[in-house]
Amino acid sequence: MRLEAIEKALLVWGPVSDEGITRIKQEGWLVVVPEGRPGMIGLRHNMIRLRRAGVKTVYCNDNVLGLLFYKKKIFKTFVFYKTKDEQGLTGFCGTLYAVLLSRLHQVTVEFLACPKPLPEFTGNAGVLGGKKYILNDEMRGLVEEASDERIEGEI
Amino acid sequence: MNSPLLFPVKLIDKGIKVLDETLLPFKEEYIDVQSLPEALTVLREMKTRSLGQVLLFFYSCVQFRDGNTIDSIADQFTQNRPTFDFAMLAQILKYQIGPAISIKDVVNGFVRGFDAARRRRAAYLAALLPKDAKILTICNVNGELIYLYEELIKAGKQAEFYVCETRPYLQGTRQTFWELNINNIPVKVICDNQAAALMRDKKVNCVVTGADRATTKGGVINKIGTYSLAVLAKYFNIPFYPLTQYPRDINIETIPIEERPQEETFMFLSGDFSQYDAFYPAFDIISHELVTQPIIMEMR
Repeated sequence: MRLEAIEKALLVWGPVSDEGITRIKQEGWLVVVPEGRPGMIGLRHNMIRLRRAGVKTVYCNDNVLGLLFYKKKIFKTFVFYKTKDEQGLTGFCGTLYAVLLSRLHQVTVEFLACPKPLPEFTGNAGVLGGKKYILNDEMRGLVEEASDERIEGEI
Repeated sequence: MNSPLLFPVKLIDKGIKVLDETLLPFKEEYIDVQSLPEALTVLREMKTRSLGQVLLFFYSCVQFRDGNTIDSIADQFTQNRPTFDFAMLAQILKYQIGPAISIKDVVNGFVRGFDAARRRRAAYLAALLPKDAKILTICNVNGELIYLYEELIKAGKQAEFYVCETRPYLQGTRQTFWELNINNIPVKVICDNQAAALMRDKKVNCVVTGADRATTKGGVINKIGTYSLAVLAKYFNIPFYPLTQYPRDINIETIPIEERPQEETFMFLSGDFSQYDAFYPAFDIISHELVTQPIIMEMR
């Protein structure tokens, strides 16, 4: 697909839940599914579930988000969080990236809960597709561990 | 300190040797290029990029001009990499070639001058960066971050690098991380989407990137993901410095953004993804409002 073929789309970040898919289907638009590094949430979870539910999807790498906002292709972002309290919420790696880029481009963010039980998505930037791209035997200290991200003031 | 990426393309007696950047960090192998079609294939298949594509163009003009003009070679390069300004490189060459100076001498002089110029650019940037520079970067700038590190140390400053992995080709991990790490320069790799958290947590205090195109106003075009870094840096009040060369008086919005085949989105993943729609625009547009200061290369 070419970028120009995307006129108006939703963005999802974090693993979609069944309730979330129902909500997304109500909107009835194309859904952009980013890869979701390092655990490949987009590829391993979201593409499969959204397509199974009959949602039209298009896949991209995470670093394409900025261009999508710049070109005004995204009109709403759905963020799936792990936990929520009065001060804010905690989401998977990259949640702050998706939320801030949305907010800074005046795009509405709707927060929804992750599915229960919470799916496992582990990994780090040194490994992709099961292969190590850092040759040192000891990867610790060379990779910024991909941790959950807390969001408070940015909501 | 050294890196094969400082000069990834070499002129040899009969032909050109191109470092196959797609094999790094596992193998350092060179592709033997013997014709213009072979050079264009290397370019199209992303075997080389950035400085490599500049050198490949110049050396192709030296070696493969039979039946081609410099302009026609530039046109063919542009067809394969539309975002890069090969017409401007053709102008540089044509301007300098004369009865007393051959194209080979012009190209060799340019390469020597280019290396000296990027060292000066690194020194200039080093003077601007904080005493404890925590530098976030993306993709790869062909060894210039090694020069930057050397200049920072010379200036009595500390430096460490955070490198965005740069999906889908992983140039950040496979090239920038690799070349810094083998030179024992402090470096960590991050997922592209970790940039916001890194900035908020004050783990980085400046962003330094390359630039494939630059405007006189200060805007740039660079690898996809750069725009997000620039927007986030502005939000967190972190300076954003692109390394630029040959700024031109152009409207940045009119430059065609190369879109690569959608299969490349899944690069380095195993599986059949042919039933998925995907898209891969390879470059970002960064307007001058997001640029703290372009660090311009000055040739002498």
